[in-house]
Amino acid sequence: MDLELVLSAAALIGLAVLIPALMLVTAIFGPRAKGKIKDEAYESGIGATIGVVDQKFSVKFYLLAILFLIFDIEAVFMYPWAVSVRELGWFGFIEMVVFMLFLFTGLIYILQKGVLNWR
Amino acid sequence: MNCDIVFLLPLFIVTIGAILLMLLSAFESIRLEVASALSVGIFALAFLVQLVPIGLTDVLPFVSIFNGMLAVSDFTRIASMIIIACGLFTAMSAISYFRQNNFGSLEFFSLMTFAVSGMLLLTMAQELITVFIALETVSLSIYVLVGYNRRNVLSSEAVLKYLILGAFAGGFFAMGIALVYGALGDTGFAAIAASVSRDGLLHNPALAGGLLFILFALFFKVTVFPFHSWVVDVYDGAPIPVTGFMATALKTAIIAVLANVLLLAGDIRESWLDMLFYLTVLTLFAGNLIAIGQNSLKRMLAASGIVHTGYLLIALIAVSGDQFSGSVILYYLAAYAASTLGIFASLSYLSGTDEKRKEFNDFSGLAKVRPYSAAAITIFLLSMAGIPPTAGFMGKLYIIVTAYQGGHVILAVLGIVSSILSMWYYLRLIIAMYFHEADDLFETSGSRSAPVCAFILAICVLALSLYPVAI
Amino acid sequence: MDQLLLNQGFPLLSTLIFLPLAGSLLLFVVRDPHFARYWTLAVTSIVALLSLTLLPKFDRDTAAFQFAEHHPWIESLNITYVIGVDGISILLILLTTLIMPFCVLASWTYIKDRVPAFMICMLIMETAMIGVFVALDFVLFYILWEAMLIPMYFLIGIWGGPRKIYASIKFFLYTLAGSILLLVAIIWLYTANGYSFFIPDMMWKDYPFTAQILLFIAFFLAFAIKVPMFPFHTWLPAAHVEAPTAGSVILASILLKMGTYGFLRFALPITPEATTTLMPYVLWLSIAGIIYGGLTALAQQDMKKLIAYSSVGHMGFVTLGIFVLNIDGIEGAILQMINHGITTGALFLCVGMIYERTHSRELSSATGIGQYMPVFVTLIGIFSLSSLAFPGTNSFVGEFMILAGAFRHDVPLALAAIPGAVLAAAYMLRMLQKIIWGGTNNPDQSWLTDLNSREIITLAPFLFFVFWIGLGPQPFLAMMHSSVVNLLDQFHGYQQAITAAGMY
Repeated sequence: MDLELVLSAAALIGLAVLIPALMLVTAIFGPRAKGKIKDEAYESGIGATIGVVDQKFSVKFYLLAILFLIFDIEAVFMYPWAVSVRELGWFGFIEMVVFMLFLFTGLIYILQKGVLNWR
Repeated sequence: MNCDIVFLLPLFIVTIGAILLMLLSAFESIRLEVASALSVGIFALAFLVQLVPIGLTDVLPFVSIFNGMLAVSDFTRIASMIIIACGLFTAMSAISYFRQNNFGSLEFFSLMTFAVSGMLLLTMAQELITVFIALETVSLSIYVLVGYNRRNVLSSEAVLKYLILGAFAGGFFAMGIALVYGALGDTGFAAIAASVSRDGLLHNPALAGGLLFILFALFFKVTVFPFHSWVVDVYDGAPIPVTGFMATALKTAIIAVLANVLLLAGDIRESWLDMLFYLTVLTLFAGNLIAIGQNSLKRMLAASGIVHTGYLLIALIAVSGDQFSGSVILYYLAAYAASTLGIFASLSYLSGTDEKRKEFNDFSGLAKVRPYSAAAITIFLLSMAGIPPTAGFMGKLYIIVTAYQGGHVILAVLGIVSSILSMWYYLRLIIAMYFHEADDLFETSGSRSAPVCAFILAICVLALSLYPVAI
Repeated sequence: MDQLLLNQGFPLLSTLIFLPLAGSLLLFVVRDPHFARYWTLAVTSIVALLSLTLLPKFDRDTAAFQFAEHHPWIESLNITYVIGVDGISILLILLTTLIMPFCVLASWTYIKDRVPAFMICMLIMETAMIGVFVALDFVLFYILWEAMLIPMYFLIGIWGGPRKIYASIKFFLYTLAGSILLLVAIIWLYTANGYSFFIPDMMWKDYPFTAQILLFIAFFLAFAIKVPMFPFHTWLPAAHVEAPTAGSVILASILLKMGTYGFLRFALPITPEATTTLMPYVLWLSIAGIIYGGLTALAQQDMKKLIAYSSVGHMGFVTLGIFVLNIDGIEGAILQMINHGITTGALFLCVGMIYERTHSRELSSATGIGQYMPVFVTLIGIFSLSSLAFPGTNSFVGEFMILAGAFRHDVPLALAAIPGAVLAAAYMLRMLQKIIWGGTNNPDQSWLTDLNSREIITLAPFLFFVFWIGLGPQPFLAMMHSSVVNLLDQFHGYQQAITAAGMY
């Protein structure tokens, strides 16, 4: 048996046993104060200070975020092309134009559907 | 170079058509019927382009394009034809469906065309990342299509289940690619096959694990046991044309990928044979057991789809790898697609407003009121059950003969047994349609396109069995 | 291919097969009930007349398949469209084609609902039935064999009696289950014969003994369910009782014969060694069927059930004749297949005629009608006598030959079959007695009308054949003789080869 393998496996198993064991031990033996406020779940203070957190956001936020993501990635995709634009030549240029055209049709669709209008 | 472009022409036609439909739906300048006709036209054009070269040259040699990322062969051509035909008939019958269900919009046809373009890419892909991209193109379109009826609770449930599980499968696939790439430094099927045949599968655990993940992801998509549990709910919740489309086109595409991965690039089935064997047996019987318990027609068809996947797995196990023609698989897929689409086309117009007829009992006495519809559905059901003289019988016969020749006697026998079991639930609908009295007038509104579809497909089912052209 | 005498000129057999199918297409479009009746009668009559033209050209001195046609069909699997007729099948084909017009006549007023659909089913049935008897390619055979199920299923399920759904599903599932192993056997034979489905090539090959036994079991299950042999017979009474008259007639006259035809065509030539080994068991099962069928028939109150169980007994005689494996037995069995088709078919027609009047198949409601329906009781009397093998009628010849064959084979076996003949007399005479005279308190039957001319025309040909075969069976036997002799010669030659090989 490979010594390294045995050791690494032992280390993993040790961690897997040790960490829960420590948590258990502190839970049992640690000092603990009880009370109404103390027993509440810790919510970084939000529950107590700014009210409910599961309120509904307008779906437009998500849409906008996704649109941003798409066009952001598009911009990112252009960097490697820009670096090697000379080697790729016209072939690369046409490819990029096709790519942009595809995205452009998507943009037209979005505009027409009024996704970018806020109300 | 120019020559290679020709091979991809159907893909281009479908993709450009999809974009065109998307733009048209953005401006909402055409009616639903026009959009349907347009997508039918696009598919018909792609189909004809796909058809013509096959008539001229019987066997095309493997032509590598895009650095070996894609390959075109007779197998991919015919698989593409099946997929395009599925798209065509779905687009045609959907219009009858949307006449009676009030949530149709132009995007439907665009999304479906996008899905078909992804599937065409899937059949040709020879490399894992391409498969992944194509798979996501297909999946994203289909997620939207499954949840197309936004006001329906079942539909929303279906799309949520499908989305979450599908995302898991996608994750598995990506993980598999990473492992395979880590092991080989390459993601091409040919490289995988070469490595496996050189060193064996287990020589490289990362490769084995990666392939396992990839197989699982694909098995999820074609509902192989034990990845089948989503299918009944999702098929039930999705709109009828979408269900038909998923059951046929998607299955064809994924089976094509499986054939590519396991066989075409080099035979790597050997290492998986035991697993495939047990999964096949379990898939056949899980499908049958689930189907027997269903009362809803759509759910029964979903479960019977699992059984058909089992048959396709038998074919995948049994066809010989060295001179792979894939004709057995393709013939079965064509027969299955024709009968399944036929049933869903019939349901598209028979199910009525808001899919109110969905249980077996809802079709009681159909034969009295609408004898032609009942006859067509009977033909489709008999074909799915594998009773001669329908295409389904020929498909099963080819598969069983192949299994027998490949030495998989147990699978051959189980295949036959399972086809007998399946009679139980296919007969139920026939009984309801013919032997019970009608308490329903089966009024449907308007469009003749779905009945025409069903008629054409019924002819296809019979014609395919008498002249098995694909073989 | 030397077993085939290829057809020159007009493809008669293909026409026989496809004419009914082509005829049914018109009925999909024209949906007038009256037209459907006349049209179907015309088509079946033309087929019957065409089939009669086979007779003058049929060569009695050869065992080869005549009028054969051979066309490639699915080349990748080597499936061919090959058909032909020999002495074993020609009589069955004629039986099929000749009975069909009378089935149509019998359904003239009986079927009121969805007439075109009924006639479509009948025509498709005819195509499949003729096809089964002439197919010489195993896949073609199997396709037609299964294709037959569907129209029959609808005939029972749509136009049947009160428990039609139960009966039709039972019929369907039994027969389908029987065919599972048949398909496996077909595929095994396909691989064992150099990837060919051509049936004559599969015969008389020295397959290994175990394989033969397994093949025989596969064949046996498929065909014994179809015959049906005891104990696989339970679908038959259900199907017969619920089926409409025409369905019962087709079922009794033709469908049951496919099982015994299958034994002769496949089981004997393809698995001769297994046949010899398993023969005693099959013989005693036949005896069990004869006795069981007779006893059960004796206890029936329902006339259709009575005839159905009598069929079990009669078909037991047929399988007995086949498996004694001598010339008397097999020729008697083939003749008895025809006889049973004629006699039982006619009896079902008779019961159907009563049913059309009284709407009951119960014996008790049909008692004492002799006074009011003299023509009818005369006819049913003759057919009943034929059914119990009264000398001078057709069944006497067949049963006599079978028993002669059985005696030559094994005396105790033949003696065991004798009670069956006595039982047949008992249950048939009991039925006759009740129908004609009844007891002292018969229901009032005076409103019954005697047979009309359509019904008499329907029954007359059956009567003609009852006496023709009964008094002069020679032409019928001559037709099958060469084929049967050839079958037995090959069989015994095969046995000798096996024994000789065993001695080394």
